[in-house]
Amino acid sequence: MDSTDEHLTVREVVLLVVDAAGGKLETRTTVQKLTYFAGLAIDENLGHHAHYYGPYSRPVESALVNSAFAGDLAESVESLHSWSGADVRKFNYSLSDQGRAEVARIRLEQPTLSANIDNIVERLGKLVPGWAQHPLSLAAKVDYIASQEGGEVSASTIPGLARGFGWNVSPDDVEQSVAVLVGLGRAQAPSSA
Amino acid sequence: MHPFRVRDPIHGLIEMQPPERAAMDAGCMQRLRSISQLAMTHLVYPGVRHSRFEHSLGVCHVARRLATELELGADDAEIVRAAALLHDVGHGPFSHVSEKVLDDRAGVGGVHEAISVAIIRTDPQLRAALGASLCDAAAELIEDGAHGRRSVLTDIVSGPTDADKLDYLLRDSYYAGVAYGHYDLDRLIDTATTIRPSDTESYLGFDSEGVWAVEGLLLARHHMHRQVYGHKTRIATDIMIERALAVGIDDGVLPVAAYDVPVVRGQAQPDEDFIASYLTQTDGEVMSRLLAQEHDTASRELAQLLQSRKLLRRNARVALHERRSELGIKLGRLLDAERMRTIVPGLEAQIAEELGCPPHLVALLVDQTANPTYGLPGSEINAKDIMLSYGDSSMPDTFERESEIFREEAGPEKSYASLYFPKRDDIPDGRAEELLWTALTSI
Repeated sequence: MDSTDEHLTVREVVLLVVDAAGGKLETRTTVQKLTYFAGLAIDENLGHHAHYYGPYSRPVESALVNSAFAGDLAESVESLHSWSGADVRKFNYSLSDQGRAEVARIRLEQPTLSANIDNIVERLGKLVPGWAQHPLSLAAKVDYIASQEGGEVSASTIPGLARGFGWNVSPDDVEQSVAVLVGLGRAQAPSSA
Repeated sequence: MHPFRVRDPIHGLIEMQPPERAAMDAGCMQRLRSISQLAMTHLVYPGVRHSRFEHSLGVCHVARRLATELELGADDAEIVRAAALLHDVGHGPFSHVSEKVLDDRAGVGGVHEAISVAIIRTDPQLRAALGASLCDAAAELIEDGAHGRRSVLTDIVSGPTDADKLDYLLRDSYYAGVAYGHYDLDRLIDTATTIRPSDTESYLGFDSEGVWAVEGLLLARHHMHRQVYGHKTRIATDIMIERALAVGIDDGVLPVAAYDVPVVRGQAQPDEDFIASYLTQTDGEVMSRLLAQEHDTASRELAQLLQSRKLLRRNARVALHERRSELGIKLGRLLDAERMRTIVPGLEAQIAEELGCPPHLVALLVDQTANPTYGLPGSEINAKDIMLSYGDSSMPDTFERESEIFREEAGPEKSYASLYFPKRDDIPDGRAEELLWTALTSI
């Protein structure tokens, strides 16, 4: 099958991303950011836009909730203490047997796009061990800013541009994120001069 | 100059400052008189004839009351009022019904918000009335809210307890003639407070003794969604309008230029030509064009059926959440709205053939009823969290932790599939359910 004939829905991308990450992922934010990069890898608009916490997609959020509701993903909730001392909740996801069966169907029908998602999730796992939420979010923010600027943007201008999206991104954050984006082939390494 | 006062059935006398009065007179705001607040809900609740115009005035009024209670500075209060007054200026014909058509055609979400922002940033009459800098600040506030950037100012315009909801629940219930949407607006505003967890964060919240007023608001919202907005016959009118619009645009009966918003880098970016064409479209304009067609088209038939109140009927409904074990792996597919969009037309065509009626009069709908107690929590305060303040001694917390009836343990929602088609006396009992179940399990 020609990859141009393939198409994945947002739900299918979510299930494939969780599968590619070993069948489980911690936090909805991580899923949001991994799907952001997965969307780029398969050239699909998954609905990410500039949200307070970085690129965020309501369709991805709905797909997560619905997949848990339908039993394709098992959802567990951890209570954590936040800045305010109040409890906040962390949502973790793992593929159920039913979800694995659905992933197998998707992989059979959409082999090229599924492989692209495996590839990007694996590469991100090497660049951001454990797909840690914070560096992943920063990398997604920097990538989003660059894409909104038409791809041409220098690292030094990113903190200022980020403020326009309501994001605080420091020069150190930019450096860290650019390293991730260079590893993905989405940015050029800064010249040493 | 003295303030201008408008009589309003919900809030009594609404006071508008002279620039706000001038903005009300702008053509783009007057157009909202011709955009019904709840599309064709009057076919179910005959009193529902109010428009986006009076709702906009009501939202401005509630925003002013909140700004006063929260002791906002004069500049911030002015921005919040302007944003509240103008927040719906980009609504298309039949309000939310055309939103879906616009989003589907553009292939992106949030088109109508982008249109509102573009109008506020460019409309010469609005900018002359309010001033360019105030218009820009109001547009930015609306944009920030749409992008989930929360602050006490965005919360007033587009937050979980924003002035929009505080007005439309009371207004819609009043015109519908139902008691569900009532809640204690005075008490809610009386307990409103600004919550500042840090120097850079602020939220519209409530004193802890306001928990019952917040409960009242959420119950009102839940009941209105279940009893009015989600009424099965009202949904039928939405389906018919949406189809008539979509087919009418495809057939060129409605101007494509008014419904195909330019998209740049995955974002709706309405330009001058688009806005000029878009602003010509009102409920009446759409119906006139659809009904004036000479030939017997699907869009004309739908418009005629709406005009004569010969509506599609919900002939069958399946509670998907109660049939998980039978549906198994198919439940997730049924809830995949994107996938279903490509499958449903084929299923509807099959059912239409079985019934011997045109496919545009058969609608298979999978919908979810949101649980009002269930937010979409992230790792920090999220877009739907309502915050309560406990005075100086304790830190603020989310409303669900305090409320005795709005606990967060419940599941997210229920899910249903429904089959709509015209009233038929020749269909045996159970046949519609059988057709629906066969379709659902065939995917």
